[in-house]
Amino acid sequence: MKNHSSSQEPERLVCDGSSFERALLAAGRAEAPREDGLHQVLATLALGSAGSLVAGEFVRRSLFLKWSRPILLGLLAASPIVYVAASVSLAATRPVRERWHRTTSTTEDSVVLTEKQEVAPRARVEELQSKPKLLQAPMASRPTESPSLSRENSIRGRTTSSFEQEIALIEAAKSELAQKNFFAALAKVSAYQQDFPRGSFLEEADALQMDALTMAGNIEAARTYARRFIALHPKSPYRDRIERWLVTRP
Amino acid sequence: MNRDVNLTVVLAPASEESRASVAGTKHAEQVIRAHYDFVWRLLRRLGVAAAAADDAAQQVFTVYSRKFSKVPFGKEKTFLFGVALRVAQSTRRKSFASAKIVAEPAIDALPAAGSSPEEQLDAHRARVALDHLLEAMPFELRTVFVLYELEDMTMAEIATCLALPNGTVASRLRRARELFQQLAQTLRANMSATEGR
Repeated sequence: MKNHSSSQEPERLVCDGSSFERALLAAGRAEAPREDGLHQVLATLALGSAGSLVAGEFVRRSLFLKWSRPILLGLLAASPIVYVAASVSLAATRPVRERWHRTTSTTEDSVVLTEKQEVAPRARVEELQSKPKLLQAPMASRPTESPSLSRENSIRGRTTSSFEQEIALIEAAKSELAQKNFFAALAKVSAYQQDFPRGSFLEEADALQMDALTMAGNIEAARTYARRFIALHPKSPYRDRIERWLVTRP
Repeated sequence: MNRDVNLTVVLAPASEESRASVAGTKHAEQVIRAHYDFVWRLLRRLGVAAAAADDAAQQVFTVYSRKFSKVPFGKEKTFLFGVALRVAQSTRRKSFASAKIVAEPAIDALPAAGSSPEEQLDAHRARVALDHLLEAMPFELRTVFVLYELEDMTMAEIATCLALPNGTVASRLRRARELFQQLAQTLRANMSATEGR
């Protein structure tokens, strides 16, 4: 224990006080946070809201992006047009059934993304945690939408209802989890929690978060979230499952 | 670590600036690791319930993550202290306003490693008693007392953190210690009287 007492500074009570005072102060000094609290903060910095803020800070500070911002904005503004053009081009060269399959299949969705990356760097921007809100709806809802609806949303930007956006984010998180992209799944869940703090699928998002953390090997954090989940949602249908999980991992 | 991976994606063009930014993130992580306990304990002793302390600490570091580029090197603790102070006051206000009963026992019931149930209970009681005494102190005295007596900061450091003259800190500390000793004496007497019944 450090003791900085000098001629001006009195001896600390934990050394100089009565036994009762010493006991109280020693207990206060000994209290320490649980280690998973620190891990949660660091995890959030990487994947959650704080992370997005850090990312935003970097984006602001990066000279490259500062210079390229007008170009990037131009490309983003043009991207719906490019997307429409690309879709029309695809429509002309592929059978309707195949097109439908490609746009509804999550694995094929990545192919569409790759094609888009060639014409505009949208995919890279969307990997930013602090991506513009305008981009969230079309990107998040793409896997569940038909090509025409997707085009419309790309053009109109914000026409997708909040409910649909919620479903899209949850579905995206599930899809990432199914593909064992745990950190991407956590990012989707985090985006959902941030965008829809009173959303209809908060319980599902929390449950997905626990699953993703467990699969990613962060059992401590998952356990913390599990306890918090039970406290916050005592009547949840997920409760039994989570309690059983907690029993197996005390 | 996943954070590095994520930020590498963000900073795909590997410019000098991006490398400097990654180094900045590493520094931020070091600061968080170095000061997490301090911030958490400070929040607790400034009246944030155990169940809310993790979230409050998260808030503090979220603010830091937003502004870390503006925090002068070596002044991180002072900055974190200032934010923690505001977060603690805000959290206390909210909990008073909503009169929400925090699930303190649930968190405190978690077993601490390497101590017997009796020791845990004693420590828990002592902490509750300490918080009870601190709660009875005016906030400005409590802050100085906590930093000096529990966080081992010097009066000069406290003066810097609180942006107060040294004389004011010394005066507040003296009053805080007197009040604490007086309150502790009263509590001790009351406890003895209760045990004697």
